[in-house]
Amino acid sequence: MNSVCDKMKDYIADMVTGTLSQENARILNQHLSQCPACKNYAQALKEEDLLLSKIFTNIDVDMKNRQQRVLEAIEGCSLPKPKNSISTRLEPGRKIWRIIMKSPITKLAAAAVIIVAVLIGIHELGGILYGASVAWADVIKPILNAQTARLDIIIGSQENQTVIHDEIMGSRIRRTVSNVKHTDIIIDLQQQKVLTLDNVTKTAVYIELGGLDNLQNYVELLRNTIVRLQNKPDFQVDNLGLQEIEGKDYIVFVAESEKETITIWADPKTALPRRIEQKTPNMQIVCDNLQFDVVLDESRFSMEIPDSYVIQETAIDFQKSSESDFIEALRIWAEVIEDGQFPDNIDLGNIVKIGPKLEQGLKRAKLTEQQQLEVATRFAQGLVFLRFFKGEGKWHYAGKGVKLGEADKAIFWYQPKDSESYRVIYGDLSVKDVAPSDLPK
Amino acid sequence: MDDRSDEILVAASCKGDKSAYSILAERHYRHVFAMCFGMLADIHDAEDIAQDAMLKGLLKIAELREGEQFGRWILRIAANLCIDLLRRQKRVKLATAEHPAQSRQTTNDNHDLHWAIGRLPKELRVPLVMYYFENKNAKAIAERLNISHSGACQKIRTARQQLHELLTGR
Repeated sequence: MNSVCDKMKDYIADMVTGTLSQENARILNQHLSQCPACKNYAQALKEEDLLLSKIFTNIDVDMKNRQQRVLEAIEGCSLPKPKNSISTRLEPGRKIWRIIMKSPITKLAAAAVIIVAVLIGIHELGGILYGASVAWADVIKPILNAQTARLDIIIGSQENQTVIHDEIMGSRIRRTVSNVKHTDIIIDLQQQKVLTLDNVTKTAVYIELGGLDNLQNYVELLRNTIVRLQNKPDFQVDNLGLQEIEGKDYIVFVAESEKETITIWADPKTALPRRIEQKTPNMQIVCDNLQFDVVLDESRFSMEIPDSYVIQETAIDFQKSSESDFIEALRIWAEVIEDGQFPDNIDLGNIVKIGPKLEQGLKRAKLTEQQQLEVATRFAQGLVFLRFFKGEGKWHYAGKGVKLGEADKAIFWYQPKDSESYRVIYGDLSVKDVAPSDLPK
Repeated sequence: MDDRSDEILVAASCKGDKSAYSILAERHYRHVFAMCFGMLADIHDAEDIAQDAMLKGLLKIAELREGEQFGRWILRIAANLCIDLLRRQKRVKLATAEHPAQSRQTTNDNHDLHWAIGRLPKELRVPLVMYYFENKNAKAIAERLNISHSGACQKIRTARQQLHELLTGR
């Protein structure tokens, strides 16, 4: 067997299932006349096809009886009271409106991308807190002991901010995102599953998250990082005194390391943190309106899909994103989201704002719901590539103003681990190995 | 054979005409059963869920906005019920921890094939099963599953190849 035979195996399967083109059938027949292994494979598949047909014919024999039982069940079932015909059937004008407003999956697809972006960001930013002093210890105490929490997460600059509101209970998070309306996101970190519910169109998407070991919620991340870092000998915290937020004074602590800065605003009387800001070269995350040990209704964290919701399923693997997945994400970004142009930047702040644009792009592309979810999944899967840089800034993006297809313009370059040269991606999405001295300026 | 369109039958069903719904059920039952069998790989479970889906469709028919979409709509209801059942079964397996290793029955070719069909991932099994129930019409499968024709062909091809690998232990 060789690579030709591998290709012929596809042809053989297509031949058996009747989907092989005439041209390929001719090529296949020629190959079969010379290759006994493929000939045997074709014979085996044909025999299996006959057996499969027989099995399904046997199952089919009882179909009429099954149908009859269902019809009897329908007969015995009492119908709900018929509604007024105007309210249940759509008038022509309204129907058009409904069709335009349909496509619920666009919103959920956009939400899925944002969830992934936030998971990447928060996960990778975990591990950057440095600090301990008496007052600091008081401030972090609620974080260390909290069972539940409520908070807002703002990623990126303060302009046009997208607010992610989280309620946290154990390993589950209930999340809403300000630019994705009427949509609830429930994340089960232990099961590594995300359930996205569009409460208007009654549509649900389950996302299986693979490859994220020990996924922690924001509070757990803070807690574990603090515990780990409190013993560091070079640890230092500055107390900046009081600062006012919305008419109330808060005591401010700043903890810095070479690459990251953490600022905490806490109530001077109760020591409860109100706001935590994390800054790295590539990202800024603000966690605001923090409340710990709030009373939360457990039913709001259920992963069960409410009755009558339409369900779609997808999966994202956080270990398997490759350079080609990332290039595919760049292509989708330019082709579907930005109308032929690469985005101004690809940092997390920009990704979380992408919701409405992605929705519009998917609608413009006139894809089926299944295809929309596939595109959004591929996009998110490609973005996962950025997590492997661990927020250390060893990549550079220069796609601002570049159009898809511009082969002479470099849009992204990075240095793979243990490599001397850089990988440079160009506007036509081709890739070249480039020596550090030859990198674009 | 009633030649009224799905749209007309849905409209009549919404007004409480159960016989109109029965015609829809008769027309689409086969596809629904195929989908359920594809998802669950068990004839008895597929029969139960296909029936549940048809009854749920009857109760929810007033929520269907576009009558001509009945076929896809009822398949979605069935798929959702299958997912619910699979999730429940998974939970039971986890809770009891008495799920014995799946052993291969090798009494005859049919058992082997049933075993192999059951081992296929459901993303491949559903199109494969529907393909054999739909007189080997890949285009019809694509329409029912709301995927492209080439996507349907690809899934059927991969399903056949994986099935062969399962059967030959490769």
